[in-house]
Amino acid sequence: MLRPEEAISTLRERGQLWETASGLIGLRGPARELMERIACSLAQLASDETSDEWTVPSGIAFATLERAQYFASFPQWLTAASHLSGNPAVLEEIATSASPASAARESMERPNAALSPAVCYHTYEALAGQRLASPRLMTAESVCWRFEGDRFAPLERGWAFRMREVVCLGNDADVEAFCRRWMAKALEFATSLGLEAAIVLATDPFFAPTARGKSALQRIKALKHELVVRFPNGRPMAIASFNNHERFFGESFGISLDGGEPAASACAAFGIERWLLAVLVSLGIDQPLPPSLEHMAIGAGA
Amino acid sequence: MTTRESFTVAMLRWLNERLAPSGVTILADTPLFAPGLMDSIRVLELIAYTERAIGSLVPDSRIRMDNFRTVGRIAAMFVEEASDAAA
Repeated sequence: MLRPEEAISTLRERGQLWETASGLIGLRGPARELMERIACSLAQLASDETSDEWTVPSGIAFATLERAQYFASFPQWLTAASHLSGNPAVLEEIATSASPASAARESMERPNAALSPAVCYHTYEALAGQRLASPRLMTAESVCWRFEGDRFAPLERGWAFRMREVVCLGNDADVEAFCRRWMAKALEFATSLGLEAAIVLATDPFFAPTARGKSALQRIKALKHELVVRFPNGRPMAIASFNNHERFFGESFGISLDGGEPAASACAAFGIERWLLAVLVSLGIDQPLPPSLEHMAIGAGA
Repeated sequence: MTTRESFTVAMLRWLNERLAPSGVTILADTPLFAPGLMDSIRVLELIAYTERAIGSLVPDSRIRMDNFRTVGRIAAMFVEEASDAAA
């Protein structure tokens, strides 16, 4: 088993991984191919359960995040989407400035949208106000953005990273069964890749003023679990999470069930770069593909 | 009255005055985490109350359903037997 730093260092030396800014990486060559095979496998795992694949926008309105109470839960991660003014005079001033990048930074409009911090908010927004006749399952993969300052580490903790999510809306029993089922599926998939992984009870890193109460509630009600692998020094890394939101988003977005009661929701989320790192660290670089990835076809556009 | 009994009586009084929804009476064996009773603020108050009453912090590792299921369970898990004997 490699240390993560060794795996990253090897990929850098071979030109398969490079960093354009802190927390932003690119991949090419065999490392990228391995990640695409993992991403395709996760897509396949999701499609075994639902044919409702979504392509979600890469940005999300502040108003939607407000409705999801994101600003009270994870404001520390927020990454905004802004743009320059359409005023020709401003644009000309920037274009002719001695330092256009600095001038542009000073002239950005106040943002009204964020780069998506998660996939599932889009599903609640899209279903807002609807009454569901039966449980809904949908899946999507998207790049998510979470700013974590000096904690960035290539493949392990990116400012931008790929996430596959499967989302369930239904009654309390539907989402509890969904979480149990996806914990088993994810553990089985990890095992098929040769990873030694375990399901553990977890909490979200909520923003400080409300953190302890929310974390306590999550822990007491066992609402969040993670699939965790361990590096050679014992340090854990979560490669998937299983989140029972109870009726929080159903109430926040006015999504109800046939009887009129708010829908419960849950999501299973897979951080794809972390799966790549886990496989590289566990199996080593230049090793044959795990059998469960050999048959995965990689699309031309992937 | 033992320390656990007095803890239970006091916590129930506090919960019913401060946190119980209208028309609901919380008893020692009422599930505290049934839908609609606890939110993140209330659970924080519940933990803070427990900490004040026992005079020490509750470590995160002990914040789990098995220890906080009911007021009776909280008393059993966090109020020392030794205190009962001395009471």
